[in-house]
Amino acid sequence: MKKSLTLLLFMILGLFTMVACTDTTTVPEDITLTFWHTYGDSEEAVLTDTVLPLWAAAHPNITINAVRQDGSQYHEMVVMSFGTGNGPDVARIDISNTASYAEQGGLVALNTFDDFDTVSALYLDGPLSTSLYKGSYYGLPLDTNCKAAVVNMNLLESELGLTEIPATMEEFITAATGRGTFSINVSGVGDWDLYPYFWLFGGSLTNDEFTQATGYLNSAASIASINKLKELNALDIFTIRDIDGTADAWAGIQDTYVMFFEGPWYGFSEDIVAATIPTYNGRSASVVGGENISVFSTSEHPEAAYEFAKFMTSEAVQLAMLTVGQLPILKSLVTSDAVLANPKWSVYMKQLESAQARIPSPNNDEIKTIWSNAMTEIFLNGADVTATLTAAATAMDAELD
Amino acid sequence: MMVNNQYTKFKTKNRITQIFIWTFLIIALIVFSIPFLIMIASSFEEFSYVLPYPPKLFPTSLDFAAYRYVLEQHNFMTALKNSVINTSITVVVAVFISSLSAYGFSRIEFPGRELLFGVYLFTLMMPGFLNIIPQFVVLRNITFIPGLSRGLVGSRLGLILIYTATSICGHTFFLRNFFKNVPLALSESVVVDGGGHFSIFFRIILPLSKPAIGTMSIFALQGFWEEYFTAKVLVGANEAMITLPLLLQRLNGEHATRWEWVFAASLLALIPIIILFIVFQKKLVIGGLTQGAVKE
Amino acid sequence: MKMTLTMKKRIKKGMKGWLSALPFIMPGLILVAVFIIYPMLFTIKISFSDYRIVTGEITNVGLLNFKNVLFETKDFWYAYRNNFLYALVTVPLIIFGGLIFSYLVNNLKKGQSIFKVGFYLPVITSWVIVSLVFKYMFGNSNTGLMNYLLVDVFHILDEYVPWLYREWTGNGAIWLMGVWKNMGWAMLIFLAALQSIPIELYESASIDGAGLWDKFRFITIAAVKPTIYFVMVNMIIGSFNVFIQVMLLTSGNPNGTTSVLQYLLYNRAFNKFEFGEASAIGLISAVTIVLLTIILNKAFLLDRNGNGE
Repeated sequence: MKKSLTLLLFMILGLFTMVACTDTTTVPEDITLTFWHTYGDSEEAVLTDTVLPLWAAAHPNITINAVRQDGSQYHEMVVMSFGTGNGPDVARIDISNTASYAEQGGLVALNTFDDFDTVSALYLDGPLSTSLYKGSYYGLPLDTNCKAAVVNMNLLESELGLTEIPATMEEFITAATGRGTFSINVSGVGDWDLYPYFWLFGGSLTNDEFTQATGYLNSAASIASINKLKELNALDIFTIRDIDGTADAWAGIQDTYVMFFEGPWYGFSEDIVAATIPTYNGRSASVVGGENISVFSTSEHPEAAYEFAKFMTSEAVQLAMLTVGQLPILKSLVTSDAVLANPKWSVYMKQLESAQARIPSPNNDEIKTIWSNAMTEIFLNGADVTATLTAAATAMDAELD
Repeated sequence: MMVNNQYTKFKTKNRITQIFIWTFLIIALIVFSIPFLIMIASSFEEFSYVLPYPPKLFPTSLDFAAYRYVLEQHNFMTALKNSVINTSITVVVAVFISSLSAYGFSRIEFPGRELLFGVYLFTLMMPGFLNIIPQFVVLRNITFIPGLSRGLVGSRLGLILIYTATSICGHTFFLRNFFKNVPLALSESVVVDGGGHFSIFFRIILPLSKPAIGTMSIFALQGFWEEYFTAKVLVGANEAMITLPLLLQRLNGEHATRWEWVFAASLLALIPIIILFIVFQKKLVIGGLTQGAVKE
Repeated sequence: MKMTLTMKKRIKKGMKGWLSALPFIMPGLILVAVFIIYPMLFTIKISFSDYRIVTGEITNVGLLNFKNVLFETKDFWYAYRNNFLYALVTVPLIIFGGLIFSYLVNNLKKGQSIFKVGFYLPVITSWVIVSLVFKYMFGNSNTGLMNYLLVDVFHILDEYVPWLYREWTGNGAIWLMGVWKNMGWAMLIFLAALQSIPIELYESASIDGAGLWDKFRFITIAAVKPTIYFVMVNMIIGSFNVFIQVMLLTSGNPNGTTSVLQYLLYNRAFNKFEFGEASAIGLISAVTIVLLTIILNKAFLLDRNGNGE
């Protein structure tokens, strides 16, 4: 018994050392950059098959170790890497998180590089602005997107009697009134979900400088916007899944809903098509999404990482990633054939003109919470709209600089 | 024999009682199995990202495409191998070290014993999430092992060390109670024969606590097998070290999920652990857990 | 003189105790000290500090984190309440269910293994996967099993219930999942304890004419009491560690009314960069569990006439 146990112990020790010795991977001569991303299968395929070989050809001494992270816990993983120092050199990060990472000191200010001004002049202003924090740019725009209308053409005709997608929300509402079933669905009350509707019906969050919410979030126009949504809900036109407990949009668009708003990743088909969001009071609205590519402070090779970031925003790479739905951020590509000739991408690029950014703030998470808590109070618990928005505006003011 | 190990001896001869128990348990088992039925039925379907309604409890066709897809993932075998290696080494090491500790805390008197044990217990009550950052820093600083310039970060050894360390307190708590209950008289006979604590431990305690240790190994096994968080932080960036739970999470899409893949992969990941459990519960988890098969 | 002698003796005895204990506790102690106790002390320190994660800067802020957690928002109290409710609802169900099932399985002449494995399956299935399945079962509108059964099949309810989007149905789903996932664990432990009960006890009871229920009440329960305490302490610690099912089922919605401490902690630390407040939550949670176990221990001790621990 004792012998066999000693033997076992030795075996375990042996295993430990074996394991320890097989782990040496770093080669001193060449640089390896770790690149984190959350691309899905198709995007990852383009990245490994097309984009990275391009890079390898141009930079044989810099290897890219592309690590695919799961979308769900990505933000938490990034935060943790700040603490452990085991982060990537360069990463694709959500535009709405850029400011908070920058505030924590986790990202390198890229405008310290000599050619930044030349490079940044090539980018669309909207996407570029999302990496601006306290006068410095903490990332390059990598891809952009927004929500556009997803419409089931069959139901549009059979249920609402329309053969064409209406240009205005007023027309849509008139057609949908009296149908008796919800025609528009949104998943929840979060910023990404509800902002487009809030803005579409005339609401506003803050002043243009994003420094004050009081007087904007609780303005008469904002209150009217929320009341409009409540009214549409009461008329059985508009439903919030998480509040009403109705079917999810992706499922419901097949047989119930006529329209919902979604990003370019929706799997469109012959009958379910993309369109710009119908205007209300003559104006369309949407919310801007997308990702930046940023260099992490913990990187030992910030120059090389910046080089890679620039490469990812080059025309060739942007065109390659467009084939899998990553909309380009280069001014030069907005009117290119690749965009205009595609029925989907052209819609989204058009919609981007009327899309607004969420408040760029390091306190993005708090602001999100304030918003969705207020909306839950109003839509689920029937709280007074004016009072709730006023309280939310005060709370939001405290989070804005 | 005072202890009931063989149910054949049990005197519930009443047939009706047996039938009643069977019926009751079968019904309970079916209700319990509903989530599994859903998983199994769904793994044979093909979805457009939305699960079916009305829900299916039984597969309508046997389409193994999802299983094929999962098995054909280029790193499935790597993940399986890593999970098996990590889990088995950790269980053996952790259970052995914990048994030693439990013996120390149950059979040897030393000053401060209860206090130290109290500290062990307290660590069980502290949420573990926040430990990850300091743990990581420690691992990074373990650079004295040759061949590891970056410390133990991203290595299997680092992961196993953390897993082992996190399980020691709980296992010691569990085993201490059993070791305490092994009658003193037995160890005295060893002492009379001139044996010390090690003899008592290896000759009396370990053999008599087999059921307890077996039971605990199963608990440990499944915890390490499905562990996601620590693995993700420690070795997530090292593709060669990927484990099954990490691979599984990737099947969850960024915007939409192919459910049949997720369920097929989960069921595949479940198979080894079910087999192990069946083997273990037959071989080890029989007989007394609290008293052991001891004549008093 | 005599004093110092006994002191010396005691020290010597203590040293001897340590010397013989060291080979046994050393390997564990080193690992625990480095990877558990040190991080724990770090967490305790952070709970009184402002911690900047990138730079590693730590500034003492006294009790500010605790004040913020306890009095700034309501979310802590919802989470705290929900942890208690979770324990209150699931622990008795798990213990009672585990006891019944183990007792019945133990009384089977054939097929014990089937039920052992069957009831244990939920325990060995990953929390993440199980949460995904439960999310589907409690899907809102016409997407989930519950709504299908209750509305479309049995017509018990007229309207679909948005289970996971309401305070009490959401909590209910979380509880149900906890019971389902843990009952097999309790059953296995009770089963092992039951099998060590001397058979003579049952035999003499049978002679006295006791039925299945009487034997269960008077012999089984009494014999497995220490095991019940063990399972209970484990389950209560578990109740304060509920996390994955909350994150995946409800995310604390609506407005944190289905949240729990661990979810709150995770959110504060890794979403809001509030490591100080997260650590404070962790500490409050730990102290609560300690108090609960002490109280339970007292209660059980009294009941058992000071028998054992």
